[in-house]
Amino acid sequence: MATATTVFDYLISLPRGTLHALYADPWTCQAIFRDLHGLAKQYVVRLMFVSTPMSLSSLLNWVKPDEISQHKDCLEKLIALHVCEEVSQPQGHIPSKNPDGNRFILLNKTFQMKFNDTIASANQESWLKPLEPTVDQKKIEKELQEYSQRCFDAILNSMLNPKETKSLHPSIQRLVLQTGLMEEAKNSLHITSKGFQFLLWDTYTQIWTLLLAYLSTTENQRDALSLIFQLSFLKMGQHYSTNHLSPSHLRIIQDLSLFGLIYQRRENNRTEKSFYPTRLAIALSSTQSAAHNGNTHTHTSSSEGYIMIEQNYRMYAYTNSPLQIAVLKQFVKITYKLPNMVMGMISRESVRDALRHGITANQMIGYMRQHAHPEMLKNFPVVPETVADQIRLWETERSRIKYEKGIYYEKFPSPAAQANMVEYAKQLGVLLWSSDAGFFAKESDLLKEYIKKVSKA
Amino acid sequence: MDSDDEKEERRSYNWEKGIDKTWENIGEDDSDLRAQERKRKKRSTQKAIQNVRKGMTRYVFVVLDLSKSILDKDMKPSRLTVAVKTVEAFILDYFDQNPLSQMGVIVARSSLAEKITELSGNPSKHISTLTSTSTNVSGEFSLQNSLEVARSTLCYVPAYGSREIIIVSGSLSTCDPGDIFETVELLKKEGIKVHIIGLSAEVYVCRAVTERTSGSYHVALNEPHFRELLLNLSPPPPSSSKTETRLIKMGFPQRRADISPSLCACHQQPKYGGYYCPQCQSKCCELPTDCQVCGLTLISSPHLARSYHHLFPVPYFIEHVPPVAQKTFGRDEAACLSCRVALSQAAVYTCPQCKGNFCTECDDYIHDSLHNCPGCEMQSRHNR
Amino acid sequence: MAWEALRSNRKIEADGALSAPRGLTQDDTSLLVVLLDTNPYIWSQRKQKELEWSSVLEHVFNFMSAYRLLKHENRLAFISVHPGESKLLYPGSTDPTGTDMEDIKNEIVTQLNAHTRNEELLKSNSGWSPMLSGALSLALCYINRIQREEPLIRPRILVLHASPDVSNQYISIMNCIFSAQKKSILIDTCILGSNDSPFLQQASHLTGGIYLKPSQQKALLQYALTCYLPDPFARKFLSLPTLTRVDFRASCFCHKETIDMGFVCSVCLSIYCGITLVCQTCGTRLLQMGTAKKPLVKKALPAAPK
Repeated sequence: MATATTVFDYLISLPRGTLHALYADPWTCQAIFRDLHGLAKQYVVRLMFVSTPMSLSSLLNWVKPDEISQHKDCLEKLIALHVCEEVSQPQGHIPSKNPDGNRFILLNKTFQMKFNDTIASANQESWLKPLEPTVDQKKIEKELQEYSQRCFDAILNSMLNPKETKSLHPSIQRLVLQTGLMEEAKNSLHITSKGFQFLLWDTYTQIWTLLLAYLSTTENQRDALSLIFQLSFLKMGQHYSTNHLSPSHLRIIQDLSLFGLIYQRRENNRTEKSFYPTRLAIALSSTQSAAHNGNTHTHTSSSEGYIMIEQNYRMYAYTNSPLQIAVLKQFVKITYKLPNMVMGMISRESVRDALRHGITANQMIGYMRQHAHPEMLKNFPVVPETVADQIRLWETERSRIKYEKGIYYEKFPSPAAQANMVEYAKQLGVLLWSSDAGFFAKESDLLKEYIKKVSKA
Repeated sequence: MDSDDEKEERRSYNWEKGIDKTWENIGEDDSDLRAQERKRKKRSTQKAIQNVRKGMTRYVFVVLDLSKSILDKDMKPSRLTVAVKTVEAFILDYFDQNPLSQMGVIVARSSLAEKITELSGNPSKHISTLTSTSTNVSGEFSLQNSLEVARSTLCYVPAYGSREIIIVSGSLSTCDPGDIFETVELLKKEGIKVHIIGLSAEVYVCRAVTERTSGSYHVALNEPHFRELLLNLSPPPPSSSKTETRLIKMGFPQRRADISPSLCACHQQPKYGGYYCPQCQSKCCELPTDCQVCGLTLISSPHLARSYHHLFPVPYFIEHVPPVAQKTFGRDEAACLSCRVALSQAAVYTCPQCKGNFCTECDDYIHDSLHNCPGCEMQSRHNR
Repeated sequence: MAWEALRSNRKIEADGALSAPRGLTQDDTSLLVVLLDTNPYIWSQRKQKELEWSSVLEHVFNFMSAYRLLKHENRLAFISVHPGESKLLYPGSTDPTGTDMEDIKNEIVTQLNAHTRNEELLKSNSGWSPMLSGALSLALCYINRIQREEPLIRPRILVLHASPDVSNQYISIMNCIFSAQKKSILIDTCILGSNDSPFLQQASHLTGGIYLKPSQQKALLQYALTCYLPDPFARKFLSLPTLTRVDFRASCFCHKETIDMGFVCSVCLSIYCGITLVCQTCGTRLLQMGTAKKPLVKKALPAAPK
């Protein structure tokens, strides 16, 4: 089952009624606003306090003449998300020759109302009530860090080691199967090429892929989505009470704790009536494009960068974590392993292995850049050009040869006959290559019949 | 005893000991290199006396040596590239600090000197001409010819401006047609100062020329030193007694954008807007410039304002070392006046006029770039 | 061939590492420093169409909260431009990021009350002119400090000014403008008073910011959200108001009038409208008026033959 890859695609696929209901929650509005393109954000803010419909041609005046294509992209996206809606022509409007002059646009009423409230900060109270801290702050932060890392790493680890998959919670196993990251084969689960790519993505994209798959399994998608959006606005280290949450919300919270997004402390073998959002939940607050560019700073990465790459294709990774080493093994040949460091070489074989699994060169380079050691970040560009270019060249090598199946015709009775045949093949559009000795063409019944006819004659 | 010693020896093999993380033992001792560097720079700039009349209008010729010796590779990638890049940076910095001044560029090659740009106030023209002609390198360097070419233009420059020649030379010899000391006498009479920056080694004739014309002569040790020496020549120098003090007539044109295009006086191209000279109403494209028709100097007030910080500099802040700082300042005042950062550990700088306390970074920023003391700004300053 | 193809594709990719070093992206964190004129002499004498003090704060707070919504990591600072002393009201001593808008508003309001009620400041010898140059210097020092902590941040300044210009602050304001120009800090101006401010016009023009004198001040929030909210990345696409005429004329030191043509002392660069023998600022004796070019060498005429 094809799942949406980004939040926006998912939201666009939802029916209009669901989106409207979603926009009744101010946190959803804020979260979606935050993820919009820079120009789209300005449009939303400008239309915020406007109550009369505006024609599309008057909106064109907002941009510089050179940037009309950007303008159209942004508008399309806003309309697809139902943040902006087309309305009928207002009374007294004189139809203009320009078709854009007859289309009117207005901000979605619910969205507008909730967003206005947010700006005036009249209604900032979330229905998640923060509680007084009961445990020492540092201790809690440590526990949160360990828990989230353990959970999330367990998921990633299980993708690499099929034996550990059985130890995962069954619902997560189902999710992983559903997203196509792993597949069933001979009573055990094996990682697919999509799974390999998943490992190299940044945290933001990884979490959202799993969450989107999870959402499609829940019954009340609206509630789940609004809860997830709210989570990204919470403060880390602060716990929130679960007393007045509805049963469906409670279930969602428990499911999310399996992912490592939420932590529920157990004290004296009894779960407390509160939960803490972990750094993975807060990571949802960074924008999607920032995550793609690897611009997110320390609060989303689990640790500081640890990879150093040299121009002679040697790689040094200052890490002990078996997960990170396993990920690196996908495309780097590990040569030495020291107590605090792992040394490897990026070679043609190792990169081609990774390419064969479906990992692209951009993903490899993006992964190296995202986890680059702080000393490496001082270089410009971060990954040496020689290495980055060479990986890309190895990738394009795979598409150097194109295969086409066909038949080779030779030894014609006379050059004229051959030329005739070549001409006919060209007209049919199946000719692939010709020379004085013969020609090569795709399989075609018409061509075969013609040859039979001619040879009989 | 013996077995003990032997055991000691055996135990002392390096691989038998634990990992010795020697890299963690490196610490910084009191000789903090960064702080020392700052102090050295401060001392050198403080030597520049503040209350001396400075030559604001400068007419400078930059002479670049394009003889064979500049192709030497002791500066990476070659002396030529380093010199061209540094001279470009110098040109930009010069016009930034001296907006009213003019500059021209001369290149010396094949025992001749060629003036490639005339004296003007437009940095981009100088830079583009320099980069295009600097690829052609040949022959020997001639000091006397360069000085003669520069002098022939500089002697017609108004007397209230300070006249300078800056030479960047990489050769150890000079190929002159006549007696160089005669030229030096003429330069002295005209009040032209010669500054030379050598890239190879000290040469006697350069030393003699600069000493007699009261200029400066330095030899660069490496690329950063070369850059520092050249950029030290961009702030206005103290003016000599020979320069006259005059009232210069200047115009302040307004920029107007017109509906229909008209020809500009500098390029004879139709343009939509431009600056109109208040005296003769002819149009020019950019400022600062001399009006092509009536000869009036045209500038805008920001250009003048760029030079004001040389005339009214910020007084140097007094430095307090940490122990003293902690004693004299109470808790409320332990924050930098301008950026509110806590002041406890670092050195504290106090302005002698307004007694405000500043942190190290603000002190650097105020003196290098801002040229305003925020504390003094708060206390109102009437006409300076 | 493949190598060339790769090199030409270099610029097209949205790969962060291969793009130009400091190109604008939509994910740049911004730092906005708001300078609000709190001169009580001006705000107590408002004309009919102009905005009152009570509503100005509301508009500004709404604008700031919209700014914070743009990006979670956006930073904010607030300086009050006051006669006697300009002060950095927010951030005070608390950690700036992660605070709620309500907390920010409360802190600013309490600090503002304490600051503006301080009558000592009004009695100081600055009179009734607000310290704009002091406020700009404060803003620039604060930005300098933040840029050390977060080198990739993009700062800009928004000045909401109502008082007329003070001529003796000219030099300091120009110094601030040049320093802002070097660091690519935009200075946006919104004039809430009745007169234009040539100093702030020059500031916005030289730094690339927007200068606006809203015709309907009651709609200040809409003006602010339309023009001042976009960050430098979004400003690339939007068409925003520009100044058609910037008055770059200087004013003479003797009468403080703007002049088209004047005389400049070659030593101290002070501008005069007429010829004086002694420069008033530096006291040098000035010789007769000099023109741009020295006349050609005059040869003594040969003595007439007797």
